[in-house]
Amino acid sequence: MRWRIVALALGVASGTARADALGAAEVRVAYGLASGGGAGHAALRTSPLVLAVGGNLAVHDQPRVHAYAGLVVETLDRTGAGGEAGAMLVAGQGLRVRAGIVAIAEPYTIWGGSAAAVMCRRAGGPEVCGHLTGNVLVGGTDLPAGNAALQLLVGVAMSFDVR
Amino acid sequence: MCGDPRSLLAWAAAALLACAACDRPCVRDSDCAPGSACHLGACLATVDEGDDAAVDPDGALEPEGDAAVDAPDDAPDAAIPDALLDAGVDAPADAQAVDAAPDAEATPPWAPSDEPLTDEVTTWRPSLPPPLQP
Repeated sequence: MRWRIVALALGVASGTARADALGAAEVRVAYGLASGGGAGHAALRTSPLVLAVGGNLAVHDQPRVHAYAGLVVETLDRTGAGGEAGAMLVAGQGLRVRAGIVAIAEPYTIWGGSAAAVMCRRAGGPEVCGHLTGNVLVGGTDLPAGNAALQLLVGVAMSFDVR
Repeated sequence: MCGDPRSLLAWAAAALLACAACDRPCVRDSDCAPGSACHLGACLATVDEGDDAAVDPDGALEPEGDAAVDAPDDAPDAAIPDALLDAGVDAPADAQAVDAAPDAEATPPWAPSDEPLTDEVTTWRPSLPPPLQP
């Protein structure tokens, strides 16, 4: 009996106690550092606070791949709205790897590539996920000419399964 | 110890706090206050190109509006010689009327007619002299 309890606990902790969901809805908040510059200079400062609402849907099995998309809002000392989209590989053991694009469309524009490592643990119904995201922003009206910006964000998300 | 997530989180939190407390350079234009833009990591004031009271390179404020651009509507009259003005020739309503391409379908009264020429002149037309009386 004691071994069964331990096995069940390990299974819940690793996110494998339930079958893989068809998809999920997610809310996320992230914050971190931003670095930017062009030739001969660099600047480092805190990033905007990023709020995201979106979802993902399984598009491939073996390997398990989900497509994700969502709305993104930058706030704290500004307000910008845009979106993100890409693909997410479910690596197992609660680990997911995401790659895609992120763009802010209003009132300024900035866009680039995004990659993230996501670690999820189930907490009752929803999953609690930690995100470590890197964004490379290479274009848009918000970037000084000839510059690029790098964002390193740490985020927390709540993910709700869709079956 | 280095792999301990708590130590990584502590390091990240310390870096964030240190960066938030330090001088805040800019990375993007939206890092700067309205009316300024990010240039080489610093926010510099910008001048709105659409502002009539923009500062010119000499540092002096230009008068509101530009006489060369905001000329009154009767400016074309100044280009008409006085003799023509006295004769009643008026300037076009605006400059675009002068520059506009002629309408292909509008035929001026002095344009040659498409009618075939004949030797018989049966009626008097204003464009022709009156017929000679025998």
